[in-house]
Amino acid sequence: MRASCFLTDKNFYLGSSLLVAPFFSACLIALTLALSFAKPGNCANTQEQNLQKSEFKLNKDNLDMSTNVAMCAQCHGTNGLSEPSSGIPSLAGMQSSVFLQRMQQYRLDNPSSSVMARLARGLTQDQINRAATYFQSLDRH
Amino acid sequence: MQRRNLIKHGLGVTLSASALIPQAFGNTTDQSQTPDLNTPPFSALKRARVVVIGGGYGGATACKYLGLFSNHQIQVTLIEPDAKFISCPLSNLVIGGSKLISDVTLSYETLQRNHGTQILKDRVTSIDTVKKAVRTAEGLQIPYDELILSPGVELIYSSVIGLFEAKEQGKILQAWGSGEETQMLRLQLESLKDGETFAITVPELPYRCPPGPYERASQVAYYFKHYKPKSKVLILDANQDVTSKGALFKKFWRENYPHHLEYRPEHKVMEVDVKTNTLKFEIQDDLRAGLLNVLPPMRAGAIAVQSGLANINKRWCEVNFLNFESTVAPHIHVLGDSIQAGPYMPKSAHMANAHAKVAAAAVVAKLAEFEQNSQPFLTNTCYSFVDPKQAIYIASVHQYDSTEKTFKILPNAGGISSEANEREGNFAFGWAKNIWADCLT
Repeated sequence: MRASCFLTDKNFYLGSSLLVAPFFSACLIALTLALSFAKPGNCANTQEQNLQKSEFKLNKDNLDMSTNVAMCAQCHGTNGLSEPSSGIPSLAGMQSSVFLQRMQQYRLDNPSSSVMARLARGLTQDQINRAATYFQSLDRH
Repeated sequence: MQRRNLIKHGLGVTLSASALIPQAFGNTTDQSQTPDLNTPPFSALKRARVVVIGGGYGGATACKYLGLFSNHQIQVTLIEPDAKFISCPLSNLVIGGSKLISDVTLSYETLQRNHGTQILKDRVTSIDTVKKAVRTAEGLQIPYDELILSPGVELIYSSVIGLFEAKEQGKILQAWGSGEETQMLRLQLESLKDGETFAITVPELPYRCPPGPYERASQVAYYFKHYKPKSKVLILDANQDVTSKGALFKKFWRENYPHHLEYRPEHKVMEVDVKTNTLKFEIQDDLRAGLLNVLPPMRAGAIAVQSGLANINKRWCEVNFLNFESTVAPHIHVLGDSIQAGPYMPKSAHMANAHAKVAAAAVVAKLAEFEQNSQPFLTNTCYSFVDPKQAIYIASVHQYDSTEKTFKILPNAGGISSEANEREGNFAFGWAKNIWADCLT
């Protein structure tokens, strides 16, 4: 894939979304750190820690919940981790209050008739509450 | 490859996979407890073999999420004839000339490295639903406990007289699966003389990617406007109107391509004459053009049809929408473009990815002996580029309805963009990056 810079996307998003901007910047730093952990030759302890943290506790509730929030992943990345150059914010580690506030804004079609506004109106308050709790529980890296 | 090697390799990659997914689906309430992979439900998953046929948006996502949802305990084998994942979304930009095929080409290696998927570059020739095994062109017989079938669409060449021969001669292409033909069509456009017409035909719904033909026409019109100003795009549509994002496309065409694009509805192509580059229609007069791009009607991928799974009009596969299991054959889950879709459910990449997650979760639930999710929902977002930078979108939410046993589109949600602009174009490129990663890495 050709390496390309999507500064335009990012600048636009940062400019238009003050609420998410600090979080997004933090995510970029966090992602950089995460990527550095993934490099080969990393110390065994770090790998061990990551391995344990990665384990998915399989039960019916967790499976159903993970399937539902995976519907966010096409745009926001698997586990709420967006590709750094995508210009789309990560959701992992987002404060639930911020998540809820943003979703409420989208449901009221404010600030714009974006894709997210279109989709947010299709989610129940319960689905949104559960997603807020879920994404807050995820690490940012 | 020897089965022993497959298993060895599969276990070998699980460790590195987990290292790259630092917090894959962590428990939201109690992260301190680590599951014991040698006790149920994981011990049951460890013995399970799932075969996935087709490595497009549906199949690739299924491989990845079977891994994530089972803690990489299930042995997942992907059988895909192509060496690389070449995206259909964005590929019309290759035809328009603003992107290269390398920009939309990705590797399957990450599925193997990060999720332990065993990848066979091979083609499935038959499915034995009694023995629960697939046969491949290379002569392998691969058993499965559950099969995921995501073969995309097959173009029905026989429905347009002369089309198969024209395609075989390389004269009239379709390029309706991204790859070599995409590049060939681009070369055909480049060699077209200024003043000649490019005609694209649209089949009746349902077909893969409803807005795709109109996006392609837009890209070619942009190219003509700047590089072949006397040339023109002609859209000959078997439908009564533009089938997706119609108002947005037509407004943009009117304002930007008034001399370079013409839309004609109710043109159902019946025959092509490759010697004279002529199209013959069911009702309308014959038409000649410098370059033809004829899209015939489509049906479920060939292996699904051959296996008797296409039980709706012999074209599409009916499924139980709670787990995407075929209504014809148990243990076979069909997803993506091949299925008989629910109402207003498009045959799109985003939708195939969404199907795959519900199907993967249902397979894991079945193997682990859980009750399956009774209230799944799906999202769809589909961007179309109207020039190299500006895009429009359509989005929708589909909730499972237990009374009607189908996904129903939520009328209060979804919709189309207000206009074509670069902002949506940038989001479209961002969407591509994230969905590619969500399918493959």
